[in-house]
Amino acid sequence: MKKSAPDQPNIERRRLLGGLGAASVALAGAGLCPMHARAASTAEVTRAPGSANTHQRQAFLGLHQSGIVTPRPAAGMIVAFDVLASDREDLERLLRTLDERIRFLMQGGPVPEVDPKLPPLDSGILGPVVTPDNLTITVSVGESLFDDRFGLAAIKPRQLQRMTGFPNDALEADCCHGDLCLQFCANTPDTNIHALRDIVKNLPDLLAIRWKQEGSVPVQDPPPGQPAESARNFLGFRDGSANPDSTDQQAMDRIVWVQPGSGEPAWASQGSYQAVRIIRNFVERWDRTPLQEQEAIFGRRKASGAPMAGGHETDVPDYASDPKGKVTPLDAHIRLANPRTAESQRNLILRRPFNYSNGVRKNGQLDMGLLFIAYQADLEQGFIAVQKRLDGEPLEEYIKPIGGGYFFVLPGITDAKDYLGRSLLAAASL
Amino acid sequence: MKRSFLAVALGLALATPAFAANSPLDLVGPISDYKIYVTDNLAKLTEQTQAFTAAVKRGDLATARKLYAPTRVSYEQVEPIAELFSDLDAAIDSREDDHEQGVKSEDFTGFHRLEYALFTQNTTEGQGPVADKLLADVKDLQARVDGLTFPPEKVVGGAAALMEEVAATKVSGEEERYSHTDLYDFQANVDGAKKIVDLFRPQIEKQDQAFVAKVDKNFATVDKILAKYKTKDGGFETYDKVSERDRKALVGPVNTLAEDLSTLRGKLGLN
Amino acid sequence: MNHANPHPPKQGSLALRLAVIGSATLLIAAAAAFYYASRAAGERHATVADGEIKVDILANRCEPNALQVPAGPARFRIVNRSDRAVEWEILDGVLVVEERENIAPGLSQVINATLAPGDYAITCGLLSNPRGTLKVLPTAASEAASKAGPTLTQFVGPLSEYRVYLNQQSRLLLQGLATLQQALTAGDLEQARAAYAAARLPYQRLAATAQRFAELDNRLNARADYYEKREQDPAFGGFHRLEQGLFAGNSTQGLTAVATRLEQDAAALRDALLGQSLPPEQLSGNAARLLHNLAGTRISGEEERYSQLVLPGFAANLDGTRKVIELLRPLLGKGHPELQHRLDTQADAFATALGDVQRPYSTLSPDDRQRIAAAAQALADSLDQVAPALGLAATKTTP
Repeated sequence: MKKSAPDQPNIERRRLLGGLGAASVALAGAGLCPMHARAASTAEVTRAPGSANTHQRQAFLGLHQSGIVTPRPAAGMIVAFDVLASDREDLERLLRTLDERIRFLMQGGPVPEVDPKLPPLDSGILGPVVTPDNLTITVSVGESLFDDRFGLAAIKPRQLQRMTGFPNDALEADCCHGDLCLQFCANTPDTNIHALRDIVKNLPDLLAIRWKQEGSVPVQDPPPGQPAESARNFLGFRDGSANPDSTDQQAMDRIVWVQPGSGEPAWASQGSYQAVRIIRNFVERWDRTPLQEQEAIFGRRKASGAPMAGGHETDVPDYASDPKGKVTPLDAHIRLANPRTAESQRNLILRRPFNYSNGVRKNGQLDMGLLFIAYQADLEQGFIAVQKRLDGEPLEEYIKPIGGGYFFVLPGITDAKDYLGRSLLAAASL
Repeated sequence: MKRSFLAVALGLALATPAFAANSPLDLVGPISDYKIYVTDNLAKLTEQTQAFTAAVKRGDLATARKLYAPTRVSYEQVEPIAELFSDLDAAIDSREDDHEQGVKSEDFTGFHRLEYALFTQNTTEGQGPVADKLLADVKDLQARVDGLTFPPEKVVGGAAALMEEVAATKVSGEEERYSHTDLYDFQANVDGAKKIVDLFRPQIEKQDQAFVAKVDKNFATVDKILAKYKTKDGGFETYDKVSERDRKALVGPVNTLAEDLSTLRGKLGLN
Repeated sequence: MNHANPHPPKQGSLALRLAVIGSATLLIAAAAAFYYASRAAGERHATVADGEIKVDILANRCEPNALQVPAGPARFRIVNRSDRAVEWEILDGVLVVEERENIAPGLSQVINATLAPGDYAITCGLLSNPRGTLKVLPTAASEAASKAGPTLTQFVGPLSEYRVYLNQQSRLLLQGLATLQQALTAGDLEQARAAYAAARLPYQRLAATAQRFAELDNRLNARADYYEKREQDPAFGGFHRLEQGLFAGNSTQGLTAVATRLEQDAAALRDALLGQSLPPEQLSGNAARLLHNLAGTRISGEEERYSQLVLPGFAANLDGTRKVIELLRPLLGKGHPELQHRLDTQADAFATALGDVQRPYSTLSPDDRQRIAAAAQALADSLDQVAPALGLAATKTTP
């Protein structure tokens, strides 16, 4: 395996650079000073779109992995893998390499070059200098990793389980479960794709892609003077209005991060349960549904995202004064998901979803929907409890969960010399 | 004085309101007629399911295969009402996709489980319990619908729901993946939607005559194309016989009917 | 010859001419009045009477376009400040609640509306203009009123179910009569008697509503007494002619024609029952009337004087009544649980008073009959309270 530490530029490399042809000059020169005015104008149509944000980066080190309470950027991707490692030694190699790649990709930097007789080390999608573009890569593990292969069974997180179908599910084996899962998030989809291809290239004998789903959220500036609002899903409704405040440390410790002494194995502290659901939306049918009915199904006003009684998106609906459901129907989505009682306070989750758009189904209808991602310290009390309350809701006429899985996000690392997952392996050796 | 008198008279004349809106009680006739239609269909379904499951249980593969598609017609005609009971709908009409283990799932029961046995496995072996359960579930459905007061918006909305069914699963032949008898279901869904439009025709025509004419025209187009695939015994050819051209020709009217019928509730002032 | 008037008007056409002149005068007067009124209104549009809510319709919008009024009567003064004739509507969804068409430019119109609490839309002239909103707030009075009466839409379910019930029972009746006809044709007295008894049941379940079609019902159910020549009267037919033949005459002879006629009349009854538009108050009202009549008249047992099958008939009447109580439960239960409970208890009490319905009516003592009559009366009295409780106009159910 080639090491990836960024090299200092040297003369040999510049010669190689010169040898790569006019195309690379155009690429390298784009945005800098154009050599020939005429050449620049014919390239305008195909000029790379500009962005002020490609330099943005997220911290890799931390008590928790990034990509959970990190503000969600516009592009996301979930990739689930089968782990091909045959023993724990291989598993360690997998985790160390993954750690290395993630650090580089999230930091950004020039890609090392190789002899042109060899395949390049990098896909080149982002150019010879990888830009971080706010990338986060979050590593989580599935229940199947804790089988008899690596001797991890005894230290499996208590609630980590294989996702079973709820009554409205039509789970397709091809897009469910996985030994390991990576969540990629960045300002643009290409950054995610670049990162995935990098990891795949670096781990051919240790990881095989099981399924992947990309997603995005609509980019929208809030009205002037107004606070930012939740992004909309493909049903046109704001998604995440009632999310707990991700900047509230105490709330996150209570709702999202596994705490020491909570009955989970020690290594799992500061990790989190991740529920991923690929939920297809029947958008043509939804678009043929009266607005009134759409709003009654969700329990919110479509345009503003406010609760049915009006106001602002962040207003808390007053269910106590509406026991019969005349304002917000009793089976409205938000009311079922969070009835706002003292008991339901235990079932809070942090949602961080994306919308996906894949293609066209055999019947000519669009294949798009929600890449639902939720984080919680307690899977049973979190996603599973909430979904059980939602079973049978009127929204089910328009959605069909077809894939996803339950995973456990590894705790973060604070020491630069550590690697993601080391504490898991260390715990197994005890 | 004469001036003010006439002014008052004029005022009174102008004060009488114009046409009154439809009274909700105008819906009573069509809704009860629809329930009668549904209960008739379910009575027929029970009768035919009896014969179908009997054939399965006595090992008469040929008869069972012959009875499969015609038996389903009564169910598909009234699907929106059946779907109000989601547990029964799942037990009677779910497809293998709805189950994680596919055809091997223990909770894969009903018509399509039998379809798999009859048309892919080519056997009635071991299907006795599935057949018994189907008959019991159909009878249960009949009893539950008997006791159900049909909500007006569900009745009227059923026309659109049926066309959504067609658009999602019938136009592409996904419903009957083993027997390929989708055209029976297709026609049944369309007939069910048409029935609802017919029952509410006088009310809708009062609102929008052009709308009714457009809907009728699209129904006629669909019927005409489907009619090409009718067989002599009153059934239909298998789905693979539908030409690519006809398949495409069906998409437009089906989608347009789904769009148009989705406005039915609004037109009748229902939620 | 009178050349001065070559076409002497006849009596009629003189009247016609006068009428034409008269109406022309009226027309001119009306036009003048219209002119004056519009002038006056135009001058007055600035002044709004007390309690009136003024809405100006401008070229491209209403002002104000968000109104709020308390429930109950409201007066809106709509002033057309655009240069086209416009209409103004209050909409509840797509239903027009109130409207005024053709408000001429410069004119104002007053619209009186009595509104229930809710959110409405108002149109503002041209269809392309954005709609305004009208929020009607509940008041103490409107809350009380809403407790009193369900909306008309809430009756649609119960009325539909009842119509389905009428269809179902009519079908059973026709099937029962077909079975009876078969037994008569076969000459089987035992079977015919059993078929008669069975066919009476769906009829009695329908009786409350059937009796509104008096003439038709008489053809089915008239007793011999109604005819001049009583049992011998050739017009005596229907159920009780069959009853007489089977239970007094002890023979199936000569009854097939009567049975055929009865089948035809039963079919006509079914058509009449399904063809009617039953007003909500008649659901309970018809049942009440039937039970009053039972307590006052039919308790004598005269209706089934030959067959003695009085009690099964009463029990079937109770079945029909219970159906109505069931259908009204969602509406009554909310605002009037005590009335609902009373209906249930009294229906049960009536069933208890009937006792074993297989015993011939002659075996009942006067006390037994009295108990049955009293139970029917009590239930009927409670049913009388249903319509007013639900905010419906009560119908007369006693003579």
